[in-house]
Amino acid sequence: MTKGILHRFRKEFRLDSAPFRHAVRAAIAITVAVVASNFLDLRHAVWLPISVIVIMRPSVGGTLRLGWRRLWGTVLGALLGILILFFVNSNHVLIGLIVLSFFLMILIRVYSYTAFSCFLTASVILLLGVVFVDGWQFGLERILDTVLGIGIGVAASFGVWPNMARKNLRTKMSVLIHAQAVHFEMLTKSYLEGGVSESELVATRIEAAQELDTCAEAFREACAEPGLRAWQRDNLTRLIRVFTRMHSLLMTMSTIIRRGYGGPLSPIADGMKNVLQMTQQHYDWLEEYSLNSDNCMIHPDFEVGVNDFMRAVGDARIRGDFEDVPIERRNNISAFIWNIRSLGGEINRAGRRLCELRYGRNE
Amino acid sequence: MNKIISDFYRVFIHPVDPGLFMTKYAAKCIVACVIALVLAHFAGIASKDIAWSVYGSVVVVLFRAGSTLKKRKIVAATLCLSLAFLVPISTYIANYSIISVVYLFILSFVVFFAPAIGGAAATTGVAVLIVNLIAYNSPDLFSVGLYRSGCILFGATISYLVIFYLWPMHPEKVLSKAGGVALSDIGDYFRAVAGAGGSKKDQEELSVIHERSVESLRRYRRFMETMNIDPVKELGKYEGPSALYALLIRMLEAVVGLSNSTHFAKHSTIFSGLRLKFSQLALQSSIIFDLLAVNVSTGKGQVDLSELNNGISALERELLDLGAYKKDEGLRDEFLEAWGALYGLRNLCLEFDEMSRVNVGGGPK
Repeated sequence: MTKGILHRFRKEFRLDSAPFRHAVRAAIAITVAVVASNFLDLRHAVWLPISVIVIMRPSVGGTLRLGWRRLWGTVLGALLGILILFFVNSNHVLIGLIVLSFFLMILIRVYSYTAFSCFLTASVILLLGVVFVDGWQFGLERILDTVLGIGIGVAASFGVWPNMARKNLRTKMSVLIHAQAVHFEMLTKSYLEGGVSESELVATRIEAAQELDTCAEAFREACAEPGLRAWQRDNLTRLIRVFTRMHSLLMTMSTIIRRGYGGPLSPIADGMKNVLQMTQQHYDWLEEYSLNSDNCMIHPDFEVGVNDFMRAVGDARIRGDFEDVPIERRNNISAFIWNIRSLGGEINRAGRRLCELRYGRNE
Repeated sequence: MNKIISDFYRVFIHPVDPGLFMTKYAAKCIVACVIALVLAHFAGIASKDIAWSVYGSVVVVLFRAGSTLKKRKIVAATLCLSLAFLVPISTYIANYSIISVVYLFILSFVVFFAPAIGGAAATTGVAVLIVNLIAYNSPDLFSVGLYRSGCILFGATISYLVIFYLWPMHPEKVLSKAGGVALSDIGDYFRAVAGAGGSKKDQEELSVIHERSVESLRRYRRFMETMNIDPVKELGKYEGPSALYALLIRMLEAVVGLSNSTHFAKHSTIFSGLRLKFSQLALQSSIIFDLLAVNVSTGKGQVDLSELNNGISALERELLDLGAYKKDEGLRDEFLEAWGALYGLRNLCLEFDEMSRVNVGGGPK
């Protein structure tokens, strides 16, 4: 364990490492915030650096998104606190409201950061309202301190080694596509050869699901950054939808493979293997295309391959090759073919969206 | 009255906190902090220092990390000890302006760099930094800092004891409740899939409900991990909580599969009658989800699948009688789509059957 930690330390403790740069950026922002709060002689000098601490994220988009939520939450919470202090005079009621606000803050924390920030601010303002006569003024001060803190955090994000989320999108996408391809490979192996346990299938799918979440978050952060045009933001949203659909098709295939009733039928087994291999190649192509769209291998013609296979299946059906096959197994094969075809279609669509993202929709 | 409460829960609470897990945790936190505050008062801690005891109790309940109960305890203990060690230093060093700025810079750097080498450090680091900033903003003697450390440890210890020992969770109850919640969320997703018209608004709504059901499944998985049950190990054995996890995954897969093809052949009039019957059958089968959710949570609730099975078989026959596959290329695709949808529903029915035979506590009934 210690060896692993030391290895990671050596790997990341460098000027060109993203976590190192993020740590330096955050440390500068926090130090500036502390100095500024002392210089301005703020009554609650701690509020300003705390705002910086909580909004700092490795990417500019992440900081902007969190800063925005923090700002809204603080403004709403401060206004709520001030309103309550104006209308409620009893300290007992105020203490009850503080407890309620604290309760809601913990309850809502996982669900919405804006709401968390709102209830946190409200409980702080109410607490100060119980202790001081001019408690409501703290509400306004809290808003100003938060605005200043967010300003410092955002300025540091842009000013110190700015890390735009959109710059890392290609890598994130290729990691996601690779994870999906690995899962697909596992599904293929399970269908054709068997011997793959359910836990192995679930493990690769969880990996793919986690990468989908990471990629979606990176896309959202990229959308929050300035410099992107509206159509580019639209395209990012559409692209993540395509990746989500691909994931859901892989999920469906798991069910079909689990109820495979003995894998592909012998008259179409070769064709089936061929189609699965083509899908795998299609995934490889997409992975490479996501990283390097200018110099990529030739786009495989998936449609033609699948249509040939479908014709072969149709011929086999007309010949009566499937007459003795139980209906469950026939259904299973049909569903599998349909899903492979849809998956190929979605991979094509992902390629088109990537192209549109780079060159615009008219290219 | 019950209906009003249940509607209120479904509309307002369920989307935020299904199963009331967070509500119970929030209540536990409030109790822990209030006990810490009251005990600090009775222990004779001066009112100006009681705040430090409160900081200690609040950080333990608010900044949680770690996937298992054991790891959470370790993280909470590490957090308390880090605070106890650093607060006196921050209190004392704040008296020297230049050195204190350098110290703060280094501390901030360490806190933000630590997650790169250690997992749970991000959450605890923020807590350490915030409490140290409070100490930094009220400079004093080192001995005063030590006293503050003592107060923090006092509050933190009480929260720790309440959260982990005095009010612990009951694994079986939590797991069966979480399983029931996950199943009813998947049921909601299924209902939305069966009722969706295919418009953009419907799709957005579907995506939200789908996210919720996935999150429910993940929650169940997280709870298993917290209780030191490996969710993936022995997944195919169909016993205990792992069996339920496997079946929940399958159920979600089945509904996702159905949602991929539920709007089959939407441009073809030949299939319109079949589509109508299909959606009626799908809506009818959504009742089974409720029965299964009750079954998982309480062990009660009988599930009869014969009507659903007969309905699907009738639709299959009807689809074959249409003979669409033999007509032309365009109809062949639509036939395959329809076949896929029926297959999805059949799959779901098979999952219903398996789910009805398993309970969280052990093997098949």
